Amino acid sequence: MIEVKNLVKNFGNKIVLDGISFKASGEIYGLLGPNGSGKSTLMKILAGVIKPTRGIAMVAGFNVLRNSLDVKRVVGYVPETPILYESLTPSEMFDFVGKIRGIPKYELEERIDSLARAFGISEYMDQFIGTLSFGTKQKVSVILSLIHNPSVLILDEAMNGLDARSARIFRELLFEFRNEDKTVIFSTHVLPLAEIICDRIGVIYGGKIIAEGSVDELKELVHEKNLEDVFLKLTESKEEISEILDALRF
Amino acid sequence: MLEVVRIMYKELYYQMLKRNPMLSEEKLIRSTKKFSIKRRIATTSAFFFIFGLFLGGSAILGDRYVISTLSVTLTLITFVFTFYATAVNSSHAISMGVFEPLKFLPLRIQGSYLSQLLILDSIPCFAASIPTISIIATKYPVQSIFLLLWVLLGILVGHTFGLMVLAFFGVRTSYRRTKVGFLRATLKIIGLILFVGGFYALSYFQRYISEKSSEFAQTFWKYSIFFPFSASLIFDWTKNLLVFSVYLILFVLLYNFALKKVWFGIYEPKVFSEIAKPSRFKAGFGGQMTSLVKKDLRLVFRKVSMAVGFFIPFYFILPQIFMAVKTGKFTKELALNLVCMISFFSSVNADIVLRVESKEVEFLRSLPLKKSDFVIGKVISISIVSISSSVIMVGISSLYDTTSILVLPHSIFLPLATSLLTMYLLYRYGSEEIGIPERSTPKTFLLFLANLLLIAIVAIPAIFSKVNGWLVSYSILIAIFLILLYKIFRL
Repeated sequence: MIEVKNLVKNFGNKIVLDGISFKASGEIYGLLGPNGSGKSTLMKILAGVIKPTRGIAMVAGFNVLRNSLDVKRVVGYVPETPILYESLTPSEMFDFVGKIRGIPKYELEERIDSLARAFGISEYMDQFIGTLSFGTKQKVSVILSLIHNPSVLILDEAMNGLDARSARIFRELLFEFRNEDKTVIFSTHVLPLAEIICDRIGVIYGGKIIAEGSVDELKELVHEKNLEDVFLKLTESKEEISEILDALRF
Repeated sequence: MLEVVRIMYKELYYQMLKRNPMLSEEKLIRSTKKFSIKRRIATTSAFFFIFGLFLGGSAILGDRYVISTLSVTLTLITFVFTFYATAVNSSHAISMGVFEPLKFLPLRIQGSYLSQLLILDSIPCFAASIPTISIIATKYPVQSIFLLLWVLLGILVGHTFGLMVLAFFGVRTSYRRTKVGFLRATLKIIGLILFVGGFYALSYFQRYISEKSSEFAQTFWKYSIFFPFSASLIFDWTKNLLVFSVYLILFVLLYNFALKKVWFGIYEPKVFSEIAKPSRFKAGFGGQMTSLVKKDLRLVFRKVSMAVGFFIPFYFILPQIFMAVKTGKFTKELALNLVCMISFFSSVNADIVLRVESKEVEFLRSLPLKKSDFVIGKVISISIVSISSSVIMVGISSLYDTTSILVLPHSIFLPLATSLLTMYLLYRYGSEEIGIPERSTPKTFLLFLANLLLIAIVAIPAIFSKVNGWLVSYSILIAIFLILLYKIFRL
């Protein structure tokens, strides 16, 4: 369960999040927004990586400001680009994170083996991360977010770079996760994917959530037929795009 | 080209500041905007200049022998500093990926970018020699020019050696973790130690010939011709110019060779293709702390050029150990002196284990890891090599002087105490967030001073107190150790 109330984050004079409020529980909650709208900042706050300037964010009953260690214990977080130790192998990386999270040896071995097989990285386990492709690094990052069986998943464009097989497996895992009454916060720029995966969507623009609801509710709200048009209309980009395209026709 | 180097240097500076949790985003942007390479070099140079004033003082009344010795010291300082800065910073710059954006630009990029980027951090050490050169110039103008040339050569030699470490011992040891790869990495570490010890071997070889050879050879070998001892030749015009020219030609050639090799490795890294077999995951031993230390040591020793810093103390203690063993006079006082010397370098080791965390700090922040646990992990990583080498050294010493066993507690707790002090001073910022504090040259000087003070407080009673001096020293050491440990746990 995630509950956010009037969350504000400033970087110097720049207001990145401007009083955001929303709730998500036992569902896949999509966060959509153009680049620089504050999605990643919001997700980092929810993962306990950075602190908000003002407001309240509760994750699985823990306050991100006061109990950030507890938040990190229950959250699985995939950042927008994989941040991993390039001189370690995936095997060493999993071992490192498993030990930091205090997962018993037997449990850790079993979980990693099944996840490595599922995402098809068994043959890369002893290869240095720096030599892996972006997609494989992303798979390592995804597995790292799942090894402690988290109750909340925060996925910042986590599907980026995954091959079709892994993307499908990950998607199914997310549905199972949701069925276990766990919460997923999912951001993506691939709107058809959001349409398939998300139970509800919050559109974030200029540091604020400007619309929220299921895909059908959003379509109805702005009288559009697909999520892409909904998104462009809400973020006032539709007319702008036509003008830009006109200008680009030399 | 200078503009490209400036941008790369600024990027490195920005990345370094970004990992500093004491800086807000606003301050980060402000500091980056205000950043000036000239100002940075000037500030660091000022500290080296002050340090150089202490050295230069002895040149005022010093005779030719003192001035020759000073020349060697100054050349050695510039050499060691540039060697360290090149080997460690190059590894750091590569892991930060500063060269990557250049690869896509229509630029004829070449190794000189790398060289210029790295040399910027080495230039300030030259300032340490300015006071001595100026003082000598008033009495011996020609010799002051010779000294200036030797110091500049020290920068070239240190830079070339740093590049050679990178070229031959590599940025990454191998493509995948295998037993052969582990063996190769171990051999590289041994190679690196031998490489470091090479100077002393040459120096010993020279002394050996000088002792054993005929009169002709004695005359020939009277002067030190091996770098950096060769800087003592400044009062012998002909030999000085001859030896200097040989070194200059040799190191210009070596520099070009090493730079090309390193740059080729960065620009077009070797692509391996091998058939990978699926393997099962096996969890390692130990808990959270072990895992933090294992991670640090893996990261350091897999980038062998980073490990250079870990071996800096060996430069200073190996010749003394060697002489003590040779003469059979390995006393407990000498053992304590060497333990102090090893402990003194804990801030260099701290620099190494903190440098291995670059962009990954953000990853660490997403884990349920307390700042104090992170710092304790780093303290253990810093001390592990120091404690092992101190204990072994005390063991050897006790073979010659059984009372050396008295130094055993110091060999364990003194490196730990200096590491704790270093990390405490670096990490006593208010925030509970894990980060990498900035380690500027002034700060590094202060850390050295703080460690020196701690070592003096612990070691002086052991050496000078007549009654129960060792007991007093143990008590002080344990008290300091416990206080620092308590302080770190409360970070």
